[in-house]
Amino acid sequence: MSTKYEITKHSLTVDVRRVSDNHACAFHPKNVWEDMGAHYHEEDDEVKSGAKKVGDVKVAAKGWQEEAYDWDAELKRVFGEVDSDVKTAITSYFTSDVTAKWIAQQKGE
Amino acid sequence: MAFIADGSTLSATTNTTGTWTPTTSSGAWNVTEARYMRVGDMCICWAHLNSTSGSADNSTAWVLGGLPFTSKNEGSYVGTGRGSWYAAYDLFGYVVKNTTTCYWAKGEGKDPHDTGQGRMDNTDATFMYSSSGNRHPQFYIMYSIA
Repeated sequence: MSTKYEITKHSLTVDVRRVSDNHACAFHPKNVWEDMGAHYHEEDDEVKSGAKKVGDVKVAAKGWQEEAYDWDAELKRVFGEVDSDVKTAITSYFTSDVTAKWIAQQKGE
Repeated sequence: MAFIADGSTLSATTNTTGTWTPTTSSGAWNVTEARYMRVGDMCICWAHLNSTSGSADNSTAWVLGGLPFTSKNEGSYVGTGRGSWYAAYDLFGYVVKNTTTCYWAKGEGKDPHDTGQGRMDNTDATFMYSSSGNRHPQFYIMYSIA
């Protein structure tokens, strides 16, 4: 068990704080977001010219998207290093069941 | 252990200051500075970001992840914040319970709760990616933590 990092597990997330400098980040199991498409807004030339109205659809929505994290890359980006204990703690905790619950929560299901 | 005015106590181990790493669901950003202060079960974060040249028009709501601590699993929204955008836009944000993320909309009386899942409409969010010139959001957000 790492003493370099403080790891706190919650129902669907894991908080990680590096003890030496208090750099902290809360991680969740999967990147989940809703692609709602693009709409025209007041700064678009098409709106200024009158061809489009604010709120008109520019790009159709794709709906909910999911992307798995590359934990090596994620930890490297956040902490500048990949601590094996932290990685193990995160990957072992984010089971398929926890991940499914996280996705459902994000979607408001 | 610290004693506060009403006679209750506060564990020193839950009082910390440090840095954090904001993440975004889309767009490319550099973190100029991002700090937090945790006092018991309350966390105050602030950050200054700037976009990289790779940022393009993006349709998704501006969602920031990487909060330093998971938000409290209570009610619906457990925190709120304000900020500014380069072109004099006001930003205001909120934190959903039991998450590591916060959601942002620009001011002008918009309600970030007015669309599904409590998210802002993307007509409020696309300006963050489609405007030309420098983009330097600065904000603070305060929320309850688990």
